[in-house]
Amino acid sequence: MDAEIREYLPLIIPLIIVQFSLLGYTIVHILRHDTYKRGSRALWLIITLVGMNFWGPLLYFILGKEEE
Amino acid sequence: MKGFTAFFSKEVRELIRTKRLMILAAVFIVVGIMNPAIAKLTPKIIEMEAETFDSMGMTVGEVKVTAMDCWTQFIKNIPMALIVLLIMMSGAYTSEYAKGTLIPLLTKGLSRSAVVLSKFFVMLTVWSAGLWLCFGITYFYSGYYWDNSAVKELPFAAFGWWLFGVLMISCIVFFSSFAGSAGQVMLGTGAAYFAMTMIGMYKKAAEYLPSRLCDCASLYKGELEPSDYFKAAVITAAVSLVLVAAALPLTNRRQL
Amino acid sequence: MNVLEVRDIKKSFGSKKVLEGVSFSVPENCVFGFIGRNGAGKTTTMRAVLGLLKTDGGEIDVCGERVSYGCTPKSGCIGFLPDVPEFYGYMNAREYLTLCGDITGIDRSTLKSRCSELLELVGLDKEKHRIKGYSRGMKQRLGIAQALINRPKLLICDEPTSALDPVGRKEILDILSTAKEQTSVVFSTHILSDVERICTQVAFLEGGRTAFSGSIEEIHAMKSDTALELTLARPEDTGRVTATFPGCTVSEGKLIFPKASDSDQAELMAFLGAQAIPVMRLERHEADLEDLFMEVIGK
Repeated sequence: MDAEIREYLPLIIPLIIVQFSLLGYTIVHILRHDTYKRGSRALWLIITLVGMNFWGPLLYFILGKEEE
Repeated sequence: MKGFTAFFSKEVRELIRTKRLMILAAVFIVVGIMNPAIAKLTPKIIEMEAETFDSMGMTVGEVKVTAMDCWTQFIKNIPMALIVLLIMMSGAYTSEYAKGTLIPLLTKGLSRSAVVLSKFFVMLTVWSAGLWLCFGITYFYSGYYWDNSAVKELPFAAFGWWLFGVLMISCIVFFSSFAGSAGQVMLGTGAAYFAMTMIGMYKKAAEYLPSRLCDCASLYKGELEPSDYFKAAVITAAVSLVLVAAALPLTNRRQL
Repeated sequence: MNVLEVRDIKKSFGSKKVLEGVSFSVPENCVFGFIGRNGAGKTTTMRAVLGLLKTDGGEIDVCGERVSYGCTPKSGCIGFLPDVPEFYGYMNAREYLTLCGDITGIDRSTLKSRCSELLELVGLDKEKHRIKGYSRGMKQRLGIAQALINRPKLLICDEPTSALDPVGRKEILDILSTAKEQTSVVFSTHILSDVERICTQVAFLEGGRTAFSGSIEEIHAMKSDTALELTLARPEDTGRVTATFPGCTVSEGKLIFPKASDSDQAELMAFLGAQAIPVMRLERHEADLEDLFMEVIGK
């Protein structure tokens, strides 16, 4: 089992790094903005956490982030 | 030319500051890693589902994963990354027309063609960099776990997808020259794709259609040679060129 | 030489005729007020001058160069401030001005000092934030700065003061009159006090035509008649005055003498002095832009 997990590590580690940094960045972005193109803070936090593999952050940045 | 370079660097800055570049990079990297990951996990998933299959009276033999499975994932997932890119870029022109942000720049002598072309080249650059980044990551893992040489014509297949993406981006450029909103641009681009699929039902047309370029599976298995894609590739490139060229006079005539 | 010549331009949207022959000319180094009611066609005219709009007829010359639809005069002699200027929110003022300078082809070293100079002129030199958080007034000021970046011979402002508070308006007007030293300014407005404050030339637009075009002095010469307004200390004296000066009218306890010349005024004052009628207030009204404007639009 141990060896088996080690076999997956080269895939899992970078995936986790990319996804979690994206997730972290998105959450910080949501918390630091008070207004959104649509939806509310709570809604976007839920969406981001539910779709944390990258669909959540993606939806937020396409649909929720305020235009600059 | 000075207008083009100035506006091009503005576009790059916009991509970075509006976080779009970061998101797209993340999408292409994640897809690049997901391709081998899904392929690698397939036997595990089937193992877990084996009981249900058993109860249905089906027996599942041992599944052997190869590089082919990984690259099948690649052509399954790259459209998703392309769609994300198209959605993100669909409003690149129309939002500027609607908000009037171009007016001060145009009255300073910036030509509309410079605007159209620099946005087109930015999208082209992002798509090229993203696709080959995704390809590179998948290629690395696939080589690490399996044997890439078992799959034929890998770079050419990716090139086919790249060219298809260029056509889709050209569609955005074309529809943006007269559409009023990002939604309309996406609708037009979607309709163009739908029309292509419809014509593709007619078997004789298939080898001339841009959608032929997406048929990488036959290429991987060696059923088709790169030369079989030649007609489709030339037509795709020509149509892209015509679409972008047509967008220039259309944009010049557009009431801003 | 005139910086801007507009001759008989026409434009209709569908069956609605917006411009039916607008003509005026703007000489060098002046502030030109372009006055008209909302919807009179001010913005349409300006967009035509900039080549952003296709006209149905007429000619426009900017710095001796003919303007045609789709291409703004290449020599870069026009600066334009739209009515609601929109910029890229993710840039700061200096970055935006640098982008504008790059487009006009100013070389980087002169551009840097030019940006500082303009930011100081419009009072944004201390502002480090991105344009996203700017107020209307700040955007308007940045709009003037970007319009002036390539030292245009003609600065066109579309209603630069309409949406601003009194302080913001004064700031914009001050900047515009400073800019006059380098360029001719054309600005459209429906606020007449702004025009009186800084303009040297005006044109009235009404019903799609230029109803009047000329200098402020010409307006004063045209409407030289002044009115006198007299308030008496004791209301019971009113009858004595109206009996001697039948031309005057009474309203709300005030006596109004329309079209009173200087000698009429002297005569009135002599009468009041001789009769020993105490006076609370005697006021002289110069005909102003508003009277002329009302006359022009036929109200």
